[in-house]
Amino acid sequence: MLEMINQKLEPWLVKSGFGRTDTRIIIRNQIYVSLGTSLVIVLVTLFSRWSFAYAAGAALALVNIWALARISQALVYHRKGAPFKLFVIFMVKMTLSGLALYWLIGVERVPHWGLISGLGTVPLNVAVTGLIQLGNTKA
Amino acid sequence: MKFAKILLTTLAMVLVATSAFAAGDASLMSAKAYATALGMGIAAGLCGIAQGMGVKGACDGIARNPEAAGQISTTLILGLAFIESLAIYALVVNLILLFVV
Repeated sequence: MLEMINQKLEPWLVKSGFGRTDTRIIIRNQIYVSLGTSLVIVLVTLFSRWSFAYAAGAALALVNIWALARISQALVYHRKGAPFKLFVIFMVKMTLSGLALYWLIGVERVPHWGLISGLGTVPLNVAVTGLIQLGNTKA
Repeated sequence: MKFAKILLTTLAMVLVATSAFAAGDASLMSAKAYATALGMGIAAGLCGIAQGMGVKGACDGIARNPEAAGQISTTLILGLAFIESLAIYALVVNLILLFVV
């Protein structure tokens, strides 16, 4: 099942500009963690406000790591033109993330532990992926 | 000298907080604004330094050994993601401090 989803997701990620396999794995895992846990929590808690806060945090985290990975890749591998365009995209993304967080916390007053848990999916994914890669390197 | 700076800054923050709690809502809001601005400034500055050091190290490594670019860039992305989540956490905590607490 997971293999089938991977096979469908991989070409799409390559098209989106993630040429390197290692980077694709990080982004793919983040998509699974963000969307999967959000869906499960929303369904289990019967569409509670906390679960929507979690989903919002997870979505924001996904957008952030997506942009970060694209920028880092472009900075390392492409020398002309692309970094500036991606830098602008990164700045716009950062501003939008800030505004989204302001709207969620300041205006909507979402349960902040939900939001923080959702944002916590990135360190979790990064730590697990890093440990797996470390294990693969040592094996 | 560095220790004295840290000590005096901490003392100033504590004194501002004490007078703010004693004075009322307007001063409390003002103290909160100071605290969040200071907190976000420190977080953004330190995360910026950390990310800069990470990118510098990665560029150095790739310049010395271009063959290792793949592994280095993956590690760079993992590191940057960690650091950026810290900055986002700081923003969230500051917004909570400003609007919720």
